Amino acid sequence: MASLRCKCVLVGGPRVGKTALAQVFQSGGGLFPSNYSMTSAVELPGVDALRTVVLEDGSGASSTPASPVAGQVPEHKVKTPLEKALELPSASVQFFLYDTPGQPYLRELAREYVDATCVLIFVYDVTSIDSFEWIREWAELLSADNALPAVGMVVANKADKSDLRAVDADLGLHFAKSLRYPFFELAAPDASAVDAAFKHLAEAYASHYQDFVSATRALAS
Amino acid sequence: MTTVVMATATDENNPVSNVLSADLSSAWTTTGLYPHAVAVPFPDDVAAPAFVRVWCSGVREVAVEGVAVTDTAREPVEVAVRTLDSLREIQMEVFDLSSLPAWATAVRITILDGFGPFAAIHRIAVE
Repeated sequence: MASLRCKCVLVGGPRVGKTALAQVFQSGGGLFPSNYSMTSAVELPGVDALRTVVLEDGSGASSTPASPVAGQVPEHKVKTPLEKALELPSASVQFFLYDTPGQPYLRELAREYVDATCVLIFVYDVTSIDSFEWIREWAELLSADNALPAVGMVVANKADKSDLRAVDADLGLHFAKSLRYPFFELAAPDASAVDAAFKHLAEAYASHYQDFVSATRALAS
Repeated sequence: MTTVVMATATDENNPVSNVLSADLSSAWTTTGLYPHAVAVPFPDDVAAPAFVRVWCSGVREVAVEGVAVTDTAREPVEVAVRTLDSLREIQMEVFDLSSLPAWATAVRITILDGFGPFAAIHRIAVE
């Protein structure tokens, strides 16, 4: 099946739900980590943990990178999720999810994984204004380095905790618009919402590829 | 007639055979992640290759090696690793192949990094 490959990095403060988001997406909803355990290294699922999102529009592309992840991650844990592939359509996006630690003292480590070649997911917790400020700082840091990826999204997690809400949806939306990223408010246990967000991201990535192809052809003229 | 012997990305709309065409508006595009590589054998009418020209766009770091097509046990011989500028145009780089051993029958161009998720090679010409 034709496929694009996507290095996708999840970034955000501690306990916002990055790992939960990654695991719910990866497992198709089967795995929601109900006990918190701090992510201390950059975790990359093993190759058999690949999630494939198949899109309706055909881009007719496929790839086998020479060594897609070798040498890129200092330590990783091989997880046991299920590879989920949707059938039939002619394009797919295979996500390689990099789940970074959210603790501020580990930001340097997380920062190494973000560059202009990846797809970025900013995650914050709607019940924590600090977590929203934290990703705003991240965005400024990346912009200053010209490292803000062209494709990404902003996810406001724990949207089900409405009585504890501290960040208005408007703020999140405004922030996302400033980066030209789509904005999703969701709760990680809701697998269909998580799937919809990742599907939107996959479509944006495939569309970015088509734009790149058109721009490439136009360079010669 | 030279044909490309190896490529790590295939998109039928931007096939790797585009690197052999002199038309720079057609290109081979990578489809996500790095590295990506393509290997092109030396043309039949070139007995001892002197250099290779690579026209590319969106490439940040590129490596060029001499490889043996038929004898895959041979370790590739590195010619150069070069970092490019982020010009939004086609860049033509020339690499000197004159020091390659006689057993090298092809050149492998590896895109190690790009300025975005995708990069392209418009043409490879061994002379």
